[in-house]
Amino acid sequence: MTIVAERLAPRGLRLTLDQGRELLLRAKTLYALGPELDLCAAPRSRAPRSTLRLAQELERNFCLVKSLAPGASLDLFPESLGGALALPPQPEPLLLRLSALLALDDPAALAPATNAARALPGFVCATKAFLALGAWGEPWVATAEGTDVYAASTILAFEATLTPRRVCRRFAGPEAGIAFSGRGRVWLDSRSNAALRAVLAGTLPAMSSQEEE
Amino acid sequence: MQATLLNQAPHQTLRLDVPSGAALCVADGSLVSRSGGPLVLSPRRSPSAAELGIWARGAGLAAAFIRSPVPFWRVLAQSAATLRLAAPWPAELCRFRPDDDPTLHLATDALLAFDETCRLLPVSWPGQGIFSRLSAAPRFHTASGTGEIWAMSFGGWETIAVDGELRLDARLVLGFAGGPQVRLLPAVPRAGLPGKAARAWVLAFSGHGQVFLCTRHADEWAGQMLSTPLSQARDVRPE
Repeated sequence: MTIVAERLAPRGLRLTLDQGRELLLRAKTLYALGPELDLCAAPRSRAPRSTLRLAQELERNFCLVKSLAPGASLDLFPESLGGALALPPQPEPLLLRLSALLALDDPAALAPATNAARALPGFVCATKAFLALGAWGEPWVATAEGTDVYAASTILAFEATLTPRRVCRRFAGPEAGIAFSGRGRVWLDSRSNAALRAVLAGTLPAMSSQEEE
Repeated sequence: MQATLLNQAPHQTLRLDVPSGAALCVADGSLVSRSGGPLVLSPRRSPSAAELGIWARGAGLAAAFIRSPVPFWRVLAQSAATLRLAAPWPAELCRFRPDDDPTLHLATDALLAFDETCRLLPVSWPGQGIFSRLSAAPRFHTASGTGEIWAMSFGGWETIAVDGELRLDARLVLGFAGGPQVRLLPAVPRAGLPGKAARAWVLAFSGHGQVFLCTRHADEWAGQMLSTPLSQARDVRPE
C-alpha cells in the first residue's frame, strides 16, 4: 500500500491513500474531509516508558485518518504559511523536528532521538515511515558538508548518518548555528522561525561578539 | 559578491557568493545557512557608523544602549563562502545600487543586507531631538557609496510615482528615490508630549520621485498575532 504525495499550489500537499490506509495527521492542518475518509482520535499508545512522552505528544496533537475508498485524497496546508515537504520511506533512519511534522503513516516508526538531543532538542527519529513536514518558508534539501552551518530552527530533518553539533551560540541572529559531522542529506526551511518569533516578541537576546568555533 | 534570488515571492531567499575577505552587514536573524569558509560575526547596533558614534557619546543613554536589540550583524568571510539570507516574514526582496541614485533613502527596518562599501547615514527629521530618537518615529537612511543593498518588504513590493502631493502611512514606506520633498507628520495631534505620545506617522511627499511601499502592515499583523486569535479577529460568527 502506498501514499502518493503531490505538491499543491499554493504551498500545500495532496496525499492520495489506498483503501484501508491509515495516516496520523496533525489536527490543525486538516481543513476538509470527504466521505471517502474516516476521522478518529489518535489511538492510545501502549508505548514503553522510554517513548511515553512522544506517544502522548502524538495523542494530543494528531488525529487518525483512514481511507475508506481507493484513491481517497486529502489536502494539507501547514499552519506556518510556508511550503510542505513529503518524504517517502527512506532506507536510512531520519531525525526530524517533531513540531514540523504534519503527517506520518506509522506512529510506531517514531522513537526519541538520542544523538541530536543536545544540539537539536525537539527532534525524533523515524525509521522507514512516510512523513510530511511543514515549513515557514520553502523547504529545500542540501548535502551537508563538514563546514556548512545552518540556523538551528531551519533544520527540518536530516539523515541519521549525520551528527549535529552547535558551532556558535548566535548565528547572526537569535539562535544557534548547527554544523554536521559525517555525510548525508539535510532538509531545510528557507526561513528561520526563531527570527520571526524574536521579531514578534520584540525581545532579541543581549548582544555579544563571537567567532565561529 | 554575486547575488542570486531563489524561490518566488513571498518566500524569496537571497544566495550570496562572498569572496574571501569581503564583509557585509545582514539583518538580525536573516542568515539561514553558510557553506564554504568560516565567518566572523560581530553585532552592529546601526547600519550607520556615524550614528554609532553619536550613540557612543551619549553616556547617559549607555544603559538603554546596552539593552537595545541588535538589528544588524557584520559578516566577514575568512575565505570564500556562500550565504543564504531570508527575511523573517513573508517578503519580496529588491536590490538597490546607491551609485545609480544618489537620492536613495531606505527605511532601517527594510534593510536585509548591504555591502560594507555602502554608506548609510541616518535621516534627521526637522525637530527630531535626542528624546524623539527613542520614539516610534520611522527611521530612514540615506544611501551612498558603491556596492549593493538588498531590501525586504512585508508582503509584496510596490513602487509608486510621486507627481505633486502624496501622503502615506509611514509604516508602509520602505524608501524613496528621485528627490521628492518629504515631511514627517504625526497622524494624530500630539498631546504636548515628546516621543511616545504620537505612535502613528504620515510621510507627506511633494514634487517628483518614486516611493517604495510594502503591501502589508507589519505592525498591525504582529499586533493581531500577539493579541487576538485570528478566528476572533476575523469576527467569524456561526449561524
